[in-house]
Amino acid sequence: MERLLASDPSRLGGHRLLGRLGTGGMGVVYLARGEAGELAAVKVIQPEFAQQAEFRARFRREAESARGVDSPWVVPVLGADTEGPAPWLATAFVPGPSLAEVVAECGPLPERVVRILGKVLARALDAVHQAGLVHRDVKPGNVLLALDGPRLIDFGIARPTAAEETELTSDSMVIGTPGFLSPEQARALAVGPASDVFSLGCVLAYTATGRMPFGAGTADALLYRTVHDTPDLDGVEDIELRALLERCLAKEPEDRPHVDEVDAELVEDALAGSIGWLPDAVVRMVADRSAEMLALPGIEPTEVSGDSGPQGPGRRRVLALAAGGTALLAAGGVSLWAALRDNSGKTPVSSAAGRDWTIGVQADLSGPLKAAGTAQERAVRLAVEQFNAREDKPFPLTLRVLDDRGEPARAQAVARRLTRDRDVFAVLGPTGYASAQSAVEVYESAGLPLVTVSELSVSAVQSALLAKPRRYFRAAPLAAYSAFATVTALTAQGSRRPGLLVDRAGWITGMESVNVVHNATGAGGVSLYARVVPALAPDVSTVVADMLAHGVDSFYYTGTPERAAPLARALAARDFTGPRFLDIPSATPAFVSAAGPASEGWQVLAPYIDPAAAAVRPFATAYRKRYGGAPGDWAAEAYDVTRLLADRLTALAGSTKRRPSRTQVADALARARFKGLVTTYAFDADHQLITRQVQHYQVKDGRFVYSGPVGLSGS
Amino acid sequence: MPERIATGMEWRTAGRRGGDIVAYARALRVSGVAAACGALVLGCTGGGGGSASPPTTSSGTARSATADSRPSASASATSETDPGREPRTTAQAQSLIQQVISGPELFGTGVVRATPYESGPAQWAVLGDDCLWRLHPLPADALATLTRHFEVPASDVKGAVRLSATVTVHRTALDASWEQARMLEEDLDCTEQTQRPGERLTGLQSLSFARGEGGNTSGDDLLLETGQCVSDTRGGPYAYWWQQAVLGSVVAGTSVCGGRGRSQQELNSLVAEVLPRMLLRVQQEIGSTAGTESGGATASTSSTKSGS
Repeated sequence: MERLLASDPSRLGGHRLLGRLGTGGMGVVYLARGEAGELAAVKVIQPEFAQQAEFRARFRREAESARGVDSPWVVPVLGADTEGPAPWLATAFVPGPSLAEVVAECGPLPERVVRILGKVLARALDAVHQAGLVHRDVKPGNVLLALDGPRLIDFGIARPTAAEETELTSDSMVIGTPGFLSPEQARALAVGPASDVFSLGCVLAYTATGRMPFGAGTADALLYRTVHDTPDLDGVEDIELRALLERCLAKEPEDRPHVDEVDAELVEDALAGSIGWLPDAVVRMVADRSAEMLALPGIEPTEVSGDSGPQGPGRRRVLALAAGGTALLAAGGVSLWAALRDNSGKTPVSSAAGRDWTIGVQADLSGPLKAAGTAQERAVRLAVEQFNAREDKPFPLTLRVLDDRGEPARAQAVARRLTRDRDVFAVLGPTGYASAQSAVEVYESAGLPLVTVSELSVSAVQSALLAKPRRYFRAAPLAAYSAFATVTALTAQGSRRPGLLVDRAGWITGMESVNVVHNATGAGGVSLYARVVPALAPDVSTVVADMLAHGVDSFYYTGTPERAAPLARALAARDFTGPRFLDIPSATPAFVSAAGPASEGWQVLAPYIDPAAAAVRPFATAYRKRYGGAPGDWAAEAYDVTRLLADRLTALAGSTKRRPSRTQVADALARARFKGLVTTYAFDADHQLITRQVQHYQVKDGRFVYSGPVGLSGS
Repeated sequence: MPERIATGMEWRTAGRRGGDIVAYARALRVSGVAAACGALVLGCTGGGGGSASPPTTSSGTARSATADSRPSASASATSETDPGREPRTTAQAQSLIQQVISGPELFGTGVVRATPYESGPAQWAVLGDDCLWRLHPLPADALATLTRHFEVPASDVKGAVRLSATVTVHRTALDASWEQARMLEEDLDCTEQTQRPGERLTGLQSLSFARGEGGNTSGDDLLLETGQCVSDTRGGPYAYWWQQAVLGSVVAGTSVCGGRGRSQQELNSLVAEVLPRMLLRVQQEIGSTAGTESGGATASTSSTKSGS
């Protein structure tokens, strides 16, 4: 802050000016103290603007409208003089750095912080829009971070959205800050609340990446790219946040979400009482900046008698922080989140306040297993929403979803991020082998329970760990169970000479079944004939003649859906009617569409239940209502596991709502006996689901039809 | 109904000193291939003392009607190898083998040449339906093969260890991958195999890893066979394993058969580096400078649509 100049007034209205906070295009902003002792930022309009009738009219409206904004996240207007020769507006003073300064100094902020910030700013903008205003200059410099939360500031250009808009702004005049403007602002078109949503998206993208989403450079270039280019969101890894930002940054205003949608979509991330949401470096910066204010002339502590104003951050908090009073800082956080969570102003009971209760999801949402990953992610979300909707819930659950695309390197990075988030108690995932192989060790090292429903191999964890897993739980029958049960079923269906066709295109997950099948057939007294076909071989059906020549009376194929199709067609061409089974990865709709009528009659014994099965109907109904479609394979299991996790956390929290450690959560899972819709969940010493059944499907009329569970020994 | 399903891959660390295994496992991680094999070897085999003969090559042609008569240009290369650098003639293949096959230098301390030292290059061993290995002429899809035999001589307190290294060059990568596939089939047909009268392998199981799986970073496909070796003259059963990898049109493998008083850890230290380093040599000889586009280890949609 700069000292007052000799030419500056000493008082404005009831405010005693203390120093200059800054100088803008339209005037000077002073730090001042009101009659009640509160600190204020007083903006005085420069005489040349004040003399313009048009500007004065606009300023008058701004002041009146701004008084109507009611939000703890928007700086309140304390007073104004719109009629005098030097019109001024006083708002509460926020003694903190701007978001622009924070990102410049501390770099991009964690995505969880971005989400919380997004929620706060969405609420702030909602209040602005409710008052009939469009902010029109939402940018990092207009977001201040105070000890008790962020504040949206600067109504310097805010004005009513109604008809007089075009009166005050000429068509060619661009108002705002390039880089954070909406396309309609850039093109000097009429703007509405959706324009602020676009700017909010820019601010959040900037906060997450440290870069403006339409790049840097000249204003012209920025405006052009804003109108024409796809925003640069590289580095925003949180799949939901990224999707939300993309919607906010839609070129067409009507394609953007309303601010209360933005708020709603981030709701699960805003929970009471945490100061952990801001990185330490930022908290320190806010504290330092606030403490600096104590050194300002005329702000001696003794001058203040404890009244810190209605909304502004209290001086006592500043003092406490300057003295290292983090407890009080934490208290500020609690009140912030209490207010944020509950608009009615009721403070939630939160003996466990201060930290989120978070369940993580590591899934393949955009890679080769995205169908399974997405089905699981949606099911988890549904379960969390249902839990949070309960009146008697001991705590609200937060969900954190990260997409690993099934890529090993990314899977490891995702695992690191989830394990570093100290609020995460357990993670559902990963979806498949490649992710498990690189991610499991990270979870093991961090002691964070990882529960998968669809990664059911033996070797992924073996190659990852070289030791027994302590924190990795498999909540569905291992693939080996399906292989064993397939031999049982083949025998039960009359086969005495089963043919095993191992397609190496099925990778290790198909390979793993081989020894199981070999041992099971040997023990069952049937004579196996096995062929292995390399992945390079263009067509697996070239071994069919050899297998039939060896008297094979049934087939069990392990591989991929696409490569199973030629086999099915070759057998159909030979009118082969013996039992035909696929392994789990190859039994997908892709097989049916690739094989056509030849797929009829093929069977699979799978670990997952049919989402349309009667046992999971309550889930399927809720899912359909939530998402407008039927759940996919593996969804019911993921739903069950989420409820299992919530159940264990609830039990551990007890009446005191004490946060359990990750070790306690893992131990509780290991001892769990939870009745879900699919099965009762209990785990053996290797943290594998204790089970005696798998699920039977057979292709009929062009699709896999579920016929119920079957026991491993054929019962 | 079984309480547990035997996958052949259970953790069998009971009775071992955990600290040793952990330290050993960490050491193994230096090499991706060795790490995967080492981990599985530790879990899969039993120790012992004494020795038995290693097998010669483990490839056979017992099956009929395979697709190996249909090599195609697109299938003769992997993303890691350059078909233009792969041998086309027997002479080129023999030259390549001499460049890449291990001598005693890649093995651990104390490993020396055995007698006879080399076998090949126009014959290889074929497993018959009776589970007996017999020498046959090299099939048409193979250009050349060579097996070298090594040993750690017996000492006062420990039995001899028998080791081997084999390199076979096929005409195409597809041919090489069929050899790998056949070896997997052999262990399913014959969990006990007689190498020659008085020398047997028992309890054989194998598992195969594509590139990227199970720590396999060196080969297009890596096969691990584990079991025991038993000899009328040397005793046993002792720990036995065979590692075999495909890289392009080349198949390379190593074997070890333990002896009296030889721990698995000791055995692994003798062979752990041999296969990865032979594969590195292969890579240097026929590897692509920048991964060429080709069949690769994964199924492509186009190759399946042209299927039956």
